[in-house]
Amino acid sequence: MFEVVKILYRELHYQILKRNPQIANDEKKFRKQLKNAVSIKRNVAIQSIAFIFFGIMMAIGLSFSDDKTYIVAMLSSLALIPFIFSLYVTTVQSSYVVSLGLFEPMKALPIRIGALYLSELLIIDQIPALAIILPSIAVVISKYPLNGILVLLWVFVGMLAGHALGLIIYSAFGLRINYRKSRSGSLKNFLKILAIFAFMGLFYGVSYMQGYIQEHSEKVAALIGRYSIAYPFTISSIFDPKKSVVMLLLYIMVFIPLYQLALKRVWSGILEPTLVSEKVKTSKFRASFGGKVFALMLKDLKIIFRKTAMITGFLMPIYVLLPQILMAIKSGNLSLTRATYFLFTLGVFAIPGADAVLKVEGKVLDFLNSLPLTKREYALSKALSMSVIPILFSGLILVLAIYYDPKALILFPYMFLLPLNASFLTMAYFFHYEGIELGIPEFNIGHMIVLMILVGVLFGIITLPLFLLSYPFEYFVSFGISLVSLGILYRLL
Amino acid sequence: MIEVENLTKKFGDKVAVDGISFRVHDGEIYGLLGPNGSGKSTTMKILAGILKPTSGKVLVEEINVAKNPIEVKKIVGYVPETPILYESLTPSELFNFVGSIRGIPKEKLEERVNYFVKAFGIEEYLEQFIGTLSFGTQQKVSLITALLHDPKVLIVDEAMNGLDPKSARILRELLLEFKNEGKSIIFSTHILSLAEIICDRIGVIYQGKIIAEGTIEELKEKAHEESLEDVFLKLTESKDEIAHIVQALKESL
Repeated sequence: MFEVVKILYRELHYQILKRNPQIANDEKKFRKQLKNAVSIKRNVAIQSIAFIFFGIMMAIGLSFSDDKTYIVAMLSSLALIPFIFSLYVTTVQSSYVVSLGLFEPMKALPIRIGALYLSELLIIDQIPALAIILPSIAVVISKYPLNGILVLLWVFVGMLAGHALGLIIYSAFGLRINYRKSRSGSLKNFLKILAIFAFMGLFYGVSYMQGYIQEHSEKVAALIGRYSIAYPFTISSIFDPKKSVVMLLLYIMVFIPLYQLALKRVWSGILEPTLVSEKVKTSKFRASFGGKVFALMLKDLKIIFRKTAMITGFLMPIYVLLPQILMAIKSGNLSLTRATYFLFTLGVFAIPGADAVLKVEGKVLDFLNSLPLTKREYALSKALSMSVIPILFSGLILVLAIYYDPKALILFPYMFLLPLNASFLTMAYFFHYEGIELGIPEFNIGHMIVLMILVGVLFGIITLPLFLLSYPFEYFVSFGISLVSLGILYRLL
Repeated sequence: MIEVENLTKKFGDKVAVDGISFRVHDGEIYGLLGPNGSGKSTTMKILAGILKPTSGKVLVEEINVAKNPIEVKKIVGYVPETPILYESLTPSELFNFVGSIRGIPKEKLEERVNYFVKAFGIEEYLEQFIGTLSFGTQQKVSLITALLHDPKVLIVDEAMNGLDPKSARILRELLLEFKNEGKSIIFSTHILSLAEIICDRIGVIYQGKIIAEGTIEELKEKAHEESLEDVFLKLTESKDEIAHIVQALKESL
C-alpha cells in the first residue's frame, strides 16, 4: 500500500512544484527543489527541521519550570499548532489532489484503490507539525512520564480532529471546483496569503506567546479551566490521568466516525465528481483597456495575486516592516525621521518583487514575443509592477505618520520616488547593463545582493541632503535628486 | 508576401533550419509539411519575429524580420502548435490585453472578439480561467488572439490540433476567406488530406531543408505517387521504414 502512496506523493509534489512559476521557470532551481520535494523522507525531514527550531525554543522555557499551571498552559497553546496545521494541510492538499486529478491514472489500473490512500497521503504532510511540540513533550515525559505520554496522545487526537474537520470543510465547500473568476476565488487566495503570513510570523507568535503565558499564567489557567472539555484545553486534564483517559476515549469515539464519514464523502467525490449544474451565462465581450505598459502591468498584478506561490516574495516588504511599524504605533510615536527610514527601507525592499514580476511570463514568453512589444515597454511595465506594493504600503505609512505628525505630509513624493527608483534601477540592471532581450533574466541571491548595494548607494546619495541641509530644504533637494536619478534610469531602460 | 532566402537557424551546434528558400505570394496558402523535428516550427517562429535567424534573409511584406521584428509582429498573426497562454487570466482578460498591446480601437476589438467568439462557440468560457479550459478551447482562444488585429500575414503552425470538427471546418473556411482577401498564409499540418484541400502550394521540409516544392499535382507527378500522403512518405524516406515496422509488428504479435 505504501508503494502506491509513495507514487501519489511524488506526483502530488511534482505537480505542485511545476505549478509554482518562480521555481518551474528556473531549470536549476526546479531540479534542486524537485529532489527534496518528491522524496517523502527528505521533505518531511526538511520541514521538521524548520519546525523543531521553534519547538526547542518552547521546550527550553518548559525545562526550567515546575509550575504545572504554566506547563499545561504552554502545552495547550502549542497543541493548537499541529491541530491547525492538520486542518489547513488537509483542506489545501485535498483541493490539489482533486484539481490535479491525482487518482485519475489509477482508476484504469487493476489495483484496489481506497480512501485510505488519500488519508495516508494527506497525513504525511502533517507529520512535520509534530516537531513543534515533540521537544516540549520530551521535557514533560522526562519529568512526568505518564502525563507526558497523555500529552502525546492528546496531540495525536488533536491532529485526527484537524484532519477530520479539514475533510469535512473540504467535502462541504471544496468539491465544487470553481472554474470561474469569482469573489470566493479571491477570498480563497486571500486566506492562503494570510496562512503564509501566519507561518512566516510563527517566530514572532511563539516568542509573544511564551512571554504572555509567563506574565499572565493565572488568566490563562482560568481560561483553560473554563473550557477544559474543548481541545486543546483538554490537555489541562493530564495531571488527572483518569479524567484525561476518559476524555481521550470520548474524543476518539466522536472523531473516528466523523473522520470515516468525511473521508468516504471526499473519496466518492474523487471517484465520481458531482457535476454542479450551473446555468452558464453566455457573456458578451466588453473591451476595457489602456496603454501597452498599463496592460502589461495589470496582467502581471492579476497573475501574481491569483498565484499564491508568487505573492509571498512580492509581499516581502510588508513582512519585513510590519513588526517595526506595529512597535512604533504601540509606542505612540512615529516621528518624521522614523517615517523617512520606513519609506527608504520599503523602497529597498521593492527589489525582491522583481523575482515575481519577471517569472510571471514563464513559458508564455513565446506568446508575448509574438506581440509588437519593445524591450523598453516590457522593462518599464515590470518596474512599475514591482513598485505597486511598496507604493501602497508607503502610502499607509505616510497616513500613519501624518496622523502622528502632520509635518510628515512633506514625505509624500518619497511614496512614489523611492520604490520607483529602486525598481527602475533593478530593471535597468537586467535589461541595460546585462543586455537581456525581452525575456526572463536569472534572478538569484547574487543579483539580489548586487542590487541591494546599488540601490543602497543611490539611496545614500538621495539621503545626503537630509544630513547636510536644514528642514524643509533638505527634503526638496532630496526629491530633486531622486527625480533626476529616476529620469536617468528611465532613459537607461 | 513572404520571401525567405537561404535561411539558416542554429541552436548551438545543431542546425534546425539549413539554408531554405521559398516565397508565399499574396492571396496564397502555402503548406509547410514535414515530420516532427524537421524545422517547421522554427521556420515559422522566425517568420513571426519570435526567433532571430542565424543567417539568411526573411522579408514579410517587404519588412526585414531580423532588422525590424516589431514592425513584422504588427502585421503578422501567429498561431503556435501548442497554445501556451496565461493560465491565470480569462479569455476576456487576454483579449483585452492583446487588444491593448496591439492598439486595436475599442469598438473594433469588441466587434472582432464577439464575432470570433461566436464563430468558435466559446461564449460560455469567456470568464473562465484559461488554465481550466480544455486543450481545444485553449487552441481556439489562441487562434482568436492571432486574428484580432486583422493581420496581413497569417502563420498557422498545426493549429487544427485539438479542434472539434465544427471549429476545424470554420478555421478552414476562415483561411480560405483570408486568402480571397489577398492575405499570405503559411500553414503547417500533419493532416495531409486537409493540406491537399486548402494549400495552393506545398513545401516539404526534412532535416532542416526544403526537399520538394510545388503545387500538389506537381509534387504527385514528380514523385510518381497517387496521393499527397504517399508523396510525403516517399520524400521523407518513411515509406520503406513503415513497411518494415508493420511487418515486424505482425510477426511479433
